[in-house]
Amino acid sequence: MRRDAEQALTLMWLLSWIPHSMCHSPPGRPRLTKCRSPEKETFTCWWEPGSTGGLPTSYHLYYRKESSVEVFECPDYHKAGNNSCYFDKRHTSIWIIYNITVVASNTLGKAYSESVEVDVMDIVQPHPPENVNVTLMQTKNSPYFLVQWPPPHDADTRSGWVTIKYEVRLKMENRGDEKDSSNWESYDAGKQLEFSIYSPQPGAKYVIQVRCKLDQGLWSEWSPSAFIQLPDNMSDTQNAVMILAITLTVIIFLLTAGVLTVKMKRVKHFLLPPVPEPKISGLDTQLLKSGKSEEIFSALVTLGYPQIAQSSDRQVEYLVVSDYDEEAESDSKARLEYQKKENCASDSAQNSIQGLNTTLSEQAHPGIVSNQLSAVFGDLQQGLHLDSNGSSVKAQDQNTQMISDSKCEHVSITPARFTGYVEVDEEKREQKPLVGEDYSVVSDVISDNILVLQDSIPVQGHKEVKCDKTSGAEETGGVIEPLGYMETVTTFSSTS
Amino acid sequence: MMAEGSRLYFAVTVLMCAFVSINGVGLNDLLERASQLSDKLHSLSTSLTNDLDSHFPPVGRVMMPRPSMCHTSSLQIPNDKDQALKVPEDELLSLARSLLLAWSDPLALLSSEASSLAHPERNTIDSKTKELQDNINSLGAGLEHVVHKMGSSSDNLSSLPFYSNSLGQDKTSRLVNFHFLLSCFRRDSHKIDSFLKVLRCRAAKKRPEMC
Repeated sequence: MRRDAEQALTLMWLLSWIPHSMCHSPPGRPRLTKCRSPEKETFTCWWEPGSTGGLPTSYHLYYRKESSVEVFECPDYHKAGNNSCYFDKRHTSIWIIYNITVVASNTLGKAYSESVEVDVMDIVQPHPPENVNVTLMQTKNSPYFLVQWPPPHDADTRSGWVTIKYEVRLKMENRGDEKDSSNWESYDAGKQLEFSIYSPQPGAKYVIQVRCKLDQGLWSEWSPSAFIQLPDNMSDTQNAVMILAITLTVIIFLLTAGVLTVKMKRVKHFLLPPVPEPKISGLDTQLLKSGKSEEIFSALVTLGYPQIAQSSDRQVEYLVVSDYDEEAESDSKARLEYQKKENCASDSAQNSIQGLNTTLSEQAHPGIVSNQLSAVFGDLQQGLHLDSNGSSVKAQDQNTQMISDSKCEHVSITPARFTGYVEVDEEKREQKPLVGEDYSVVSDVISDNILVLQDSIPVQGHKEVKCDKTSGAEETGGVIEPLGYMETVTTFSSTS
Repeated sequence: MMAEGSRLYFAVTVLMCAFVSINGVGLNDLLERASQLSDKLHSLSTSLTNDLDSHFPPVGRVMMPRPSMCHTSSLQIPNDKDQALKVPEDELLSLARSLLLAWSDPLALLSSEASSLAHPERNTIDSKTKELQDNINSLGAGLEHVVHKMGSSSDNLSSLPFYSNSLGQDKTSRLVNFHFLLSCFRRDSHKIDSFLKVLRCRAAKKRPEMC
């Protein structure tokens, strides 16, 4: 007996060391897992029971609203399944904090879960749309999917109490890998209940799902998948037409470009007619660009710049020898052509004339003024260095740069107007007085110091004179000697 | 004479255009626009709260800010759908406007404090707070138009004064108070949004496809 008692005691002592799960004990703490409101009107909370302690355990949920101390019990334990509490419309208030606790109790004791504070506003998560419907719409040549779905069945959008936004996703099904999330394409559908997806691939099979969210709450689960299979022989005529159109456009474009490049100038002239630039006669833009101020100024100065002074030793008026351009038509003035030995720059002849004019005005070489040619041309002659001195021409060159450094070889003079000339040679000069006392040979007086003498020799061509021959007496047959003419004048002027 | 006549015509046209532009927008469109703005307001405040929560010190997270401590808690509002659907329109509107008005000062405070918050997302928070302020002003102006359109008594607003002018002395209390104010605002923006959306659908009875 004693041994029995000892055995019982030992057994009991041993039993006390056996883990509690073998024994009855008060329940473990339950835990509230989540609360959800699908439509902002009701909500449900679920909990996870702790250990039961081996005894039948009952769970009760108690809540307290924020503003009051009164404690209420869960209105419905069954609607939402096991270990849940469903708050119906009457018991649901929004924008108020619920303080919820779950109590597990058995015969041995109670266990309280941690309190959870819940505001319905934060736990809104709608049900996903059911019955997603996909149809293939074949319009003309561009088929597309039309995805349609009804709103979640319990959400009240009609009154505006809830605003639901949807999202659609689709992917091509291949090899049946449903879990592959990287192939999904998601589209935001806003508040619509349908969505169109364009340009599907022919022959492919697509999986489409829809989900929604309420206000700014949580997204619902994805709806059950909807499948669609596209036929293989979808019309591609639209593609063909587009390709053709593009090709034609490219060809036309290339043609136009080619034509334009060929006829560039004409087109340019047609579209943008060239504007005539203002031109100052005698102003050389090339010279301006070269930037040498001396030459520019001297060039400007040569342009009709009035003679600096009629120096006293110049007794003759300056004969204006005009530009080729201006005097092309008129034949009333003598044309002076200086042909240089090396550079016969005919287009700068006029400039050279002007240059000579100026230069001559600058350089007073009274000594050079010979009786032969100096008269009419006045200062011009000085530059001509009709004597053998060739340096003065070069001096001019330095000034005007328009005259090359050649010796002035020829002087061709084309008088146009004068009706009479007197041939004069330097050697002959003494031989033949020009007018002397006989004024009857004078046929015309042109200006102060120009006289036209009658002579038998008609005016025709021009005379070439060699500058370095002071005689200047090369006569080509039948050509007048303007030299003589000039000589005449000189004589007169010198005597006047 | 012609010039005068054409000038008169022109003036009349301009006046009519102005009139139409101000008053010609229907109530439906005004409410539609207002509910879009309130939706944006609520979504901004939600995203701001998320930004704040992303790095919130654990101290503040334990306790959920009590709505009863918000300065707008004294306003009597409907707390469920049935109640809300029973509220007359102008009262709903005045509730929304009162709430909106009550937040203009606190948001200014939040806006000024946002740039100096001890939070890694400070810049985002700052810009979103400013956006929130702009949004509130736009919505307030829009609701003024709605009031005129509806012809309801516009001076039916409740005064919900906000007395604080600083968020706190030290970094932590500033952050905690910022979080608290923001959560109050998020709740109130949800209220405004819900009321306006109910109003919108009620006004759109002629066009049920809108709701």
